[in-house]
Amino acid sequence: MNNILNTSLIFLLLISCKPNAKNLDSRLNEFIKINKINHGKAIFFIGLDECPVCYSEFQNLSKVFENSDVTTVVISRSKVKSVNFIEEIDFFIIDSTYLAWELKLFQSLPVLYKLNEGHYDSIPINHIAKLKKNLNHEEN
Amino acid sequence: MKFLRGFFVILIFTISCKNIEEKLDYDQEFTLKDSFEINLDDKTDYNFYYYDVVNWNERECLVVINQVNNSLDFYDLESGNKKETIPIPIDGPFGLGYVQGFTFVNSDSIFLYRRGTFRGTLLINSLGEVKNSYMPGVKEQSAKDLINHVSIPKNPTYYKNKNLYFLSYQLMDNKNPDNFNKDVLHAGKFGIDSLDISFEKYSGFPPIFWDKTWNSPSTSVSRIMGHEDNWVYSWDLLDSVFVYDFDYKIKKSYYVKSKLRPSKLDYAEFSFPNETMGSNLYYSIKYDRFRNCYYRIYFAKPKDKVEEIPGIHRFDFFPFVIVVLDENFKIIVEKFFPAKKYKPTQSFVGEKGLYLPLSNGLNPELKENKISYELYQVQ
Repeated sequence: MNNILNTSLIFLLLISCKPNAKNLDSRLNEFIKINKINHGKAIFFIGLDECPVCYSEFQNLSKVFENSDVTTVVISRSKVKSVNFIEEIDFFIIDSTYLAWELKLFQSLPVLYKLNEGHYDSIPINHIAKLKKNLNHEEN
Repeated sequence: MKFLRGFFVILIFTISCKNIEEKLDYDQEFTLKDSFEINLDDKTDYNFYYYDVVNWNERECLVVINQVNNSLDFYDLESGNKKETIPIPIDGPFGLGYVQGFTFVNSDSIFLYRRGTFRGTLLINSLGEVKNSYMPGVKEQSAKDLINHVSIPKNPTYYKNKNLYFLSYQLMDNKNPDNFNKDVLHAGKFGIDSLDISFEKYSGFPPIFWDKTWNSPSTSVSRIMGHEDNWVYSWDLLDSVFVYDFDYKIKKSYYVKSKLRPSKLDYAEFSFPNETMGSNLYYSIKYDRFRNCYYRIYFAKPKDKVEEIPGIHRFDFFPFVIVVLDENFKIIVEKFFPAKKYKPTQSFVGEKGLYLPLSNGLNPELKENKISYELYQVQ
């Protein structure tokens, strides 16, 4: 009985390891390739659905992005919200199919991806000041 | 072989459908009476988060905070058209930044709330002019000044006797069992003349929560003012509903479990760090003053696997039940609704019944220029 249990556990472990084979860089690169984003740019993901606070907190992103090379990915099924949100932002992508979520690049909190020594770092962003701070750090 | 498989699938499907109907067999029915549409412009998102049904110039209207346009919009519940738009001060000396709800008292008195505090609460009139700005003093630099007060249909803020009766959302670490105790109070009042803020001592977590860890959806509560101004508390986790008189002197509890909720619950499902996603929990309770009854929403388990559901719009994946209660909290009827079609979190009560929107993000018939509703009443 114990043998069966052990074998099953090892089998489950092996299966569960498979989906993690794709690391963050490869998942992000897949997203970059599909959406034709310049590799190496910082990417900011923000979801607007079911998050009224996110919409308000991160309005006027264009001011934050001044002198920063960032692509914004707006994850939302609502065209009205997305289109109004990205006003005056130079580089953006609207992800209405939740591809970012499927690739496990986004859960619920906004997140900034920055290239660091050839690999992408993910930084959860809970308010606009943190975004500013991280982008300034990038410039320095 | 294929025919046999198909036959069995249909048979199982029929049996399972029958089971739900049989389980929810009541003398009365909750029936579809009518349909209705609200027409939206290109500055209005179909997701309504902060809204209320009010009397505006002798018309029954749905008033909604429009985040895109920074305004309060009034929709006529007869025609479905926008009747009025009042601008919300976002910038400037009375700028609210993010508005975390409102309370409509009458057409010349509307309270608007800032996020996380009562300081800067505004009273505006029908033209959007600021009539008053409330600045309760900071008595001490303490967490008391930070009040995560949210006025949403699940927990509206009420105005009565020169007080605003509010519910505060807890900002605490769910991993620490010490944070779940009777002293964590949810409901309070803010005196608009005295500027005093106090919390109601009976609004803490019920004993079942104490000294344990819970994931966030399981700790939520819906608190509304019901029949005869009683306070009704429907905790998402609990089958029982607690009812207090207005002054919290008398407390009663009523067992109002949905028949589709399992009788034996494994509470580990609701404990931190397990992610329940909010299914197998109640969501909110609404009072219908026109028919003197209550509607309690219960989210059943989805067919989809948890890992296939994006957290940001998880409710869209859950089938749900509307449990209708009479004024004495006795279940009159329950009705089951499928997932991926309706948006029960954005439903509301009007003169004609319960308005259930079909604005689920996964509904293939969703249009961005209107919200379609089905209207239900008990028969």
